[in-house]
Amino acid sequence: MLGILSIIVFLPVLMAIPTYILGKIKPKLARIVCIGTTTALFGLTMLTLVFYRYGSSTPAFQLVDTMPWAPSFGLNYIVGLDGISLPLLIISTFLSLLACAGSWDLINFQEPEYYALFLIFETGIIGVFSSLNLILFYVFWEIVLIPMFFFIGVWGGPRRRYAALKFLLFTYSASAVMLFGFLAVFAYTHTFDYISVDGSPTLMSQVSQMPMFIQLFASVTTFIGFAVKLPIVPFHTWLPDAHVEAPAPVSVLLAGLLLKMGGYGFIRYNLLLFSNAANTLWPYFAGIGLITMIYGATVALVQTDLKRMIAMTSINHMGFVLLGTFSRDIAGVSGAVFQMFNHALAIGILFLMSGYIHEHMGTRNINELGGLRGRMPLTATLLVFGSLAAMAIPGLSNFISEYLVIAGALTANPIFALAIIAPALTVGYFLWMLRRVVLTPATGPRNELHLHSLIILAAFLVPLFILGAYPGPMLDSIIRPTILRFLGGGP
Amino acid sequence: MAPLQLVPLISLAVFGLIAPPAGLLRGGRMRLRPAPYLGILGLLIALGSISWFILVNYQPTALGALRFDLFTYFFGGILIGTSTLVALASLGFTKGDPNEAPYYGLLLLSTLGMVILAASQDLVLLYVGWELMSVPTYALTAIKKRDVLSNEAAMKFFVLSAMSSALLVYAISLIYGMTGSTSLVDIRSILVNIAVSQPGVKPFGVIALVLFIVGFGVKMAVVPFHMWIPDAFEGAPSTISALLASGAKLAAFAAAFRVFIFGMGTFQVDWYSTFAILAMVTMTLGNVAALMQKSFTRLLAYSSIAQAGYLLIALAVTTPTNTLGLAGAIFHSLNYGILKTATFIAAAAIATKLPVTDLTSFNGLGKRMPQTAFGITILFLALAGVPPLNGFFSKAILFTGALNSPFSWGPYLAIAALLNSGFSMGYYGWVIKRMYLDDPADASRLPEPRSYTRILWLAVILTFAIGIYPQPWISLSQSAATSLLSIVS
Repeated sequence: MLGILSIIVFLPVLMAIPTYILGKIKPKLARIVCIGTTTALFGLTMLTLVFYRYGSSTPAFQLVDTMPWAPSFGLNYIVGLDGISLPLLIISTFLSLLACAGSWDLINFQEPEYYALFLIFETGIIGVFSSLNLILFYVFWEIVLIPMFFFIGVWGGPRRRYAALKFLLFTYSASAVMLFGFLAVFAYTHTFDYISVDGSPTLMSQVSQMPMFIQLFASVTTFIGFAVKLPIVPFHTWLPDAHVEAPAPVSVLLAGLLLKMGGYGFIRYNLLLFSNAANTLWPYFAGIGLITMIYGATVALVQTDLKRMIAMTSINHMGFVLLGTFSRDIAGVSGAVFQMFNHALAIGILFLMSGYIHEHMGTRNINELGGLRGRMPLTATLLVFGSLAAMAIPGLSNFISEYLVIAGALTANPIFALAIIAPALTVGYFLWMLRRVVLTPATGPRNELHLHSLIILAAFLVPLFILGAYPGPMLDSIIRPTILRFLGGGP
Repeated sequence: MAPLQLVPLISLAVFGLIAPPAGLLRGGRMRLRPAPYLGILGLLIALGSISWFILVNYQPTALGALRFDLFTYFFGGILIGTSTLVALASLGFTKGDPNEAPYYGLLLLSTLGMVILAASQDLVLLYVGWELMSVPTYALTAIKKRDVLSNEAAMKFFVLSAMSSALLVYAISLIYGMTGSTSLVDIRSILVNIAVSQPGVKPFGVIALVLFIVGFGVKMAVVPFHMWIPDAFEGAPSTISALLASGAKLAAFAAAFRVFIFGMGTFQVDWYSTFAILAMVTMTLGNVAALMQKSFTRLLAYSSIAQAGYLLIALAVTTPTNTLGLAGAIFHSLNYGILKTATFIAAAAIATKLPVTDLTSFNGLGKRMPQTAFGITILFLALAGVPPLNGFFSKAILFTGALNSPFSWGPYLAIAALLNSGFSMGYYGWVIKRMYLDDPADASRLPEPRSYTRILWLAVILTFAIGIYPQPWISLSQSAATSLLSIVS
């Protein structure tokens, strides 16, 4: 049976074709169809919140759709939602809507191709978060890759060709390694299904019976695949290049959604599926997370390009996700899921804003920007709020998630108290950036953004403020019951 | 009444023989071109009857030295299908060529040889099929009589190919000396305990194995017997390169599957690890060398060598209890056949306007020849193994077959293959980057010949269709793999 979730997954890719064709007739039509589709998707996602049943006595996965696809090779079409994927689904459709709206001003050529690829990307990203079959997951995982390659390579900045190819090679090689982990699991369990369709044993029960070295092996190979996407420190070099060269709306998708694929993979596969292996490997994984956080924050400190600084911030923030996941503590993992949600919004506003600022001021160099308070007062205000979110100031939901992650990490091992260095550094470089960009005297005439741009930017902040004041619905009704179910009473 | 199973073979033979004389009818004021259309008709009849046997009237039968099981039909379908693509694409290329009629005749006869190769369960017939496949391709490679490069390519190809035929004959004679039979069914049953009953002949069996590997290896593009491939593919007309790269190579693989997995599968010699090493070397060398090419056709040639490495995995890991690898290889043969034929046809389309020997002419091709560039992009992504395109699923099954194998090196083979697959994106992605991201020196729009773009679109649609719904193909290749190992009377 195909239900609402399948519609959400496949509507964008089906709409990509009319988008392209109508866009060839008149470019403006492509934008309108794309915005219409993303709006409809966001509406459908809100509808899933109505159908989703909350509480602890519900099935582990809800709104499940299944269909045999290639059963002779263990392939079944299975999609479903739980408390880990639901927040990511919401953020995917919300951010896609805002990024699509943001593209209106920032993408001015080859629009039919852009918006068609945009919708293909959206199918990929939603599919990654909702698929419950390893190969289906891999298919969506790779679908995300190709549009992103063209986004960076065609609509990007001066060094776009280098950045696009680097992105493609890094992530594609990593996926090949990840696929090996999946195939190794299949060779032992003869199934790719995360949950059972026809009463046959599920992956969850079978994986724990595989020989231990295969479990470790599968965990490490998949970890590499996810880690390059996150990215963790030795594999992160594609990210600053990709971000700096990508157009701003694409940076929003890249940082807001594509990086979350890695974090989601850690929780879904490395933590929950290969849980025996995680019992052995967690200190290494969490340690890598810690290093990534501190490294990202330190490097961000010395950047002079606003966009590059934000890119490094996102390495720092995704380190939180890794650390929280492998604290294997209820609070830590819930914090990691919530952090992905919040980070997507905080980084989204910052990236889109950097794009607008670049468009208006002609530069992104922090030292040259100066006097934003006088020249773009409303934009500067939003920049301050976006920075406050990234700094995780209490009152915004980022504070809650970072707090939970650090609390969880401390439960796991007191040495992770070192994690507190990262937020401290983050506050430091953001305040320094704000001082140089906002609080210096104005050097030119007033040059404010359009009203619609300001509305788009403000929309990012709304959920952050609401959930910052009252995180209950997200944390206690959606995320926590699922984590509790999977982790039991704690490690 | 002749058995119906022979219809595909008869159709290929009859139309292959009447196409050249039919070419004499052309000329005059009637702009009639009977030869190409007769050739295509023959191919379509063969393809249609094979599909009919698979879908409606499947019954494994053996007619003397010919064996009509699902393996034969499936491979026959792939081989005839790729030849059909080549024939359709050649319509524009051969127009006005005085050798047009023989071109189609030779194409059909070569295809007949390929199908016989896939169907034969007797070594003598296998050799006949081998020669019937090879001899027309020498002439086809040199079809541009006045082109020095084409002649050079044909010469190189001919010398190495003739040598491989000689080695095959020698291997067959050794096997006959050991077992007293040329029938693969008899060979299989005699070899079971030959190591015990006649321990002295085992070394001859090993020599025969080596000769078979070399003989087939030349056509299968196995490293170190691959040297002729880049030169021949570059010199031959691109449509014929397509035939050599897909049809001729896959037919050699079909014969190798028959001989090694079925015929000599019971011989107690560890040839599995030999193939594992050859597979690893072949795929790695193919991919590394492809990365360094400045010429598009040479890049395609090395990529086809790398793909041969993947297919070799099946020979390394298939045992009677583990046919998953073979099923993957059969499925991959189908996908490879479509993808490789179509990429060479794309090269032919580009060659009408730009020098394909130089990759810089690909800069900005996405704007200059949008259909061809889009086709190449999809085909390359499929060759690299990006889901949900067809190449991904067959590779995944093939590599899982390696993981499933009883041999301890199975997982290493699988990881080597996967890493290679990731690595191959280096050159596939590089070409895509050139076509869409780099700016051309001259941005003018170029005409794209319809006869080529039609085939490209067909291939792109097949790539998507097989990839999005692979189930029928997977189960068909699994049945084909089991049918290869069963004895049909």
